[in-house]
Amino acid sequence: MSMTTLPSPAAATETARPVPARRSPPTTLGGRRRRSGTWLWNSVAVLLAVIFGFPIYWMLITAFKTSADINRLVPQFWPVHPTLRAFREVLGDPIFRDDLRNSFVITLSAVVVSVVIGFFGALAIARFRFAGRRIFVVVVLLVQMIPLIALTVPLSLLLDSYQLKNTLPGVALTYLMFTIPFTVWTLRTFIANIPRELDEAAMVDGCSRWQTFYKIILPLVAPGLIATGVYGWILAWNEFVFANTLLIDNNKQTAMVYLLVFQSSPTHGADYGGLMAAATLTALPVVVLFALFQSRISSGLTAGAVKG
Amino acid sequence: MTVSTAQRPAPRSLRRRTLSRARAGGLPYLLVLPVVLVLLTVAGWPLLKIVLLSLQRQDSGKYALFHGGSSSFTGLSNYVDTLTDATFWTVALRTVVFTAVNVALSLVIGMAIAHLLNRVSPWARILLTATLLFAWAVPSTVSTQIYYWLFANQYGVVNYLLDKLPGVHMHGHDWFADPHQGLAVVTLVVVWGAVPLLAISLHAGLTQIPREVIEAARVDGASAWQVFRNVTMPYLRPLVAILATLSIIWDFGVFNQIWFMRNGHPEPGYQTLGIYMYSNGIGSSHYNVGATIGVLMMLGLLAVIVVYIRQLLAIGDAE
Amino acid sequence: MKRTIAGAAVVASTVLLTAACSSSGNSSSGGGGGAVPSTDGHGKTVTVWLQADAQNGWPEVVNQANQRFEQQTGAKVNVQWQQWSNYTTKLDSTFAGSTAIPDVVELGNTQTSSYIAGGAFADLTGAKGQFENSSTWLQGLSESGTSVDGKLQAIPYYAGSRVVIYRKDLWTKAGVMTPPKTLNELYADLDKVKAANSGDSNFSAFYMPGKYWYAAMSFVYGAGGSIATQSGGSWTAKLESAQSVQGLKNWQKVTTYSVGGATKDEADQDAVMAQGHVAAILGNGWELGAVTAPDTGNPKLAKVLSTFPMPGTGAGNYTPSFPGGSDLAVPQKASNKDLGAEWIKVFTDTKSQTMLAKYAIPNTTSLLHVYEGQSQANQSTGEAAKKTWFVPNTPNWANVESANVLQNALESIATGKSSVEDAAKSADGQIEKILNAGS
Repeated sequence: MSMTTLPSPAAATETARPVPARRSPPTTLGGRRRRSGTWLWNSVAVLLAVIFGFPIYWMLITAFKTSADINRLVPQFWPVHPTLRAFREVLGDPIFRDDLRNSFVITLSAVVVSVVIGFFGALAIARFRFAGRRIFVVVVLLVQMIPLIALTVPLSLLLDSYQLKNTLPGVALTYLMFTIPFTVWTLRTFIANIPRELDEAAMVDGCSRWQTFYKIILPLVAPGLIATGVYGWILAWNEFVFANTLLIDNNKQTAMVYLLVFQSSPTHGADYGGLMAAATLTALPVVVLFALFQSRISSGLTAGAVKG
Repeated sequence: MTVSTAQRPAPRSLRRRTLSRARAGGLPYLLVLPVVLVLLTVAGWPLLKIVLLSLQRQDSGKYALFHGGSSSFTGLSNYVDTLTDATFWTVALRTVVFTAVNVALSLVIGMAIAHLLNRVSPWARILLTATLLFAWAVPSTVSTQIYYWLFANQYGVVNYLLDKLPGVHMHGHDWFADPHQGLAVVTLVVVWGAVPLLAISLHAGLTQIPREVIEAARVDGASAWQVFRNVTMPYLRPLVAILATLSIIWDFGVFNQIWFMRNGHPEPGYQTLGIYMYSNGIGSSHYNVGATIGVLMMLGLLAVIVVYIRQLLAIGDAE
Repeated sequence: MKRTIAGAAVVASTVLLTAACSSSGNSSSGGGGGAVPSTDGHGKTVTVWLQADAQNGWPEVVNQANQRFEQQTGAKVNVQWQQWSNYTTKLDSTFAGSTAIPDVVELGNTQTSSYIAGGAFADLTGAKGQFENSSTWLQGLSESGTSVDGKLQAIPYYAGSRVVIYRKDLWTKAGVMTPPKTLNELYADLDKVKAANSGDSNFSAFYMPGKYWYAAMSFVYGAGGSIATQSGGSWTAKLESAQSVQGLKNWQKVTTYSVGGATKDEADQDAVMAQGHVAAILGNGWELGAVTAPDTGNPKLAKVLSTFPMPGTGAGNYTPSFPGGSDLAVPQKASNKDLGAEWIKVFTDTKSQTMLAKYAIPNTTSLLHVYEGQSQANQSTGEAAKKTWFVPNTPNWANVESANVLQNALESIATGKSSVEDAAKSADGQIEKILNAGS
């Protein structure tokens, strides 16, 4: 997903609503309307937050409910008999722990690799004009058009012939297919927003091209790297089709595959509490990641990333 | 793409002199090499294989697969078979409509929320953004399961709440009996998962529009809609173009949400091209047919977004 | 039975050679090379794919088989538990490559046919005599493990049959004291149960999911109809025949007593029954345990559940049951084929099957008495297992299943979207197309 700037509430907080300290040209009517209007819009925002958050809320409380309380005709909006049974069962399953660890390994390696080589590729198209640049850009865009499912069989055969099937690196490699295009395209925008004078000034001062890359551009683009890293993380962590096809042994699979297996098994199939517990635990790392990097992203902005 | 006009670089002539093409030399090629290598391997070769598969007919479904047996080239016969199959066209049409509805809803709601975020107090903004981010973090397989559970006919919350409305009888209503209603629920899941990113990106874009321009328009008596149309949109156009393109690509290939909403066995009325390709191809060991549909899907998508790609290239070249 | 190490080595190397040379030349299902049980396994690990049914239902049977196998051969066993959902896709993808191919694989008895025809398994015909009770194997299972030209490629594992599981307390309260002996009696009884619970709008006198094709086809065969018949090498689908339609209508009548299951299948019917608003379901014997499971079910129902075979058109004439079950096979590309065969031998011998007979129908008629002696439920299922039907025996049948032809047709009947005749006609068209597709 490409953006002009980073997805961050802090960005909005930065360029905060100019509460009219100047009470001039907009009529006082407009000014008053804005204040009372804001109350109304705040309510709308809260309502939206409730509507959007409801499914998440439901997932969380279902994970803590007993089976009897889950399947009631009159739904409980709060767990009356909260229990940790579902969590205990899921966390006690060594396969789940293995799968969670596998997800980490695959996702982390895919993200790191794609950010690094994506950065290089973005540098090339943002800073240089070269023969084939257009083609490269178009190809990067078009790769995103390929439906993943169609590729499962060829990829399975490809990895198999290189002994990479049923291995974590093999799967991480396939994830690069969709993490790289997005990374290249987004970082290109960030880099393009950094004025070339900075490069020039540095080179006048004696830096080589490479040095301008990691001394000048890299620090300024750091928030962009984080943003693409986080989004790449989401894409890779939530990926299911490739992981399901390319990983065979139970202890090599990812957390997503575990969820699928969980909800289709004969006994667990109707165990919604267990499913929601597993789902919560699976979604948790991504949420934690967000919470962690929220501040990084906003601090990157306040450091004046976009200004020269 | 640059939305902000805050900084305009130094005069072009100066730029050109210092960053001559000759000095760059082979560096750009070196920089793109890793990406090219990876994409060729991971996307290029499989793509080629798919095209090859679509031009072949396998002798015996599973046998050739297990023993690497040779398949015979049959030219375009797979394509003819697929394109003359009425079911294919029904599915294709359904996919187009489904994509259009999802993309439109996501963008409109995303834009609306972006404006809302611009309008509210900081605390409300943080609350809403945090909620949106949480929603975005939930994997599609999980959110589909949650919605399936919310819309369950007997114990679902939605039926319970709707039934409480006066005059509405939703008790035991099966949302999935009619594919149109079922796909509406799927749309809900897809849009729920797509809006956060759109809203936050568009909001970021909105904050980059210079205040003065909007204020000036308001002073001139423009209505909110006119401000949006004549001031905001021109600034946001490149961003919207990219977001729309990506949304079309993603919503066209929606698979997880439909697949898991119907527990792995989507009825004919639920099948979009992605599902159709899986069921008829990999799911029933007809890999050649699956490959054919895959190629057709990509061609169809290409035809639609070529317009956007032109726009994006133009923007890229202008920098 | 022990073979000399040399003998095993000769067989093993022959197998390897033929496997290396195998090409698409030989199109018969024999493929290249077979497997013979071998006890030479020091330092090796045998990978076994078993379905989670065993993990939940009879783990001790698996454990004792593993122990004995490890003692006898010195090889270790690595059991990988599998799920039925999308299983064939996983098998296809694994067999097509050369990575992580298991040495033993469990398959449903409706799935074996297409893999056998595809040459995915090692030939076990030569070693048939080494598998205990091979002369008294259940017919439904052994047929599914045999190729068209008579070669044994998969060994019977266990079978199950479906019976009516019902709430004796609710039925008694409604005035029904004894189980029905005919379908008409069943309908009458269900009417009474329904009337006695008319205040509960979520009550199902008989919970019958709309996609439950095993149940629906049982009625079809019970009425004298069938799914498809073969003559002269081509298949004719028969769901439109008068008898089949009558059977479908019998099934449809049962769905009228069911609330809320029209678009679902039987996967979670035990959980639904555990909620307490269902008076009867059609299920496997082990589903009793699922309904009363401590965490996900309702243990309080354990005392009031009972079973009887689904009645048919006449007294003592049951509606035939589908002999669901599994076979075990050794993949052609496995690295430890002989050890795999040995593991199957241990897992399906008399000792293992006697233990298994507590929970599921064993693979041999000689141990059926052990099974039936366990419980009343087993008696019902044992009875029901005596009259069975089976799907058309052709490799293309797997494609009918994966295309969900029957499920979709039945769902349209259960939701009222189409009439029985129309749904049957549409299903027949699809079935014929798939079954007769040239391979």
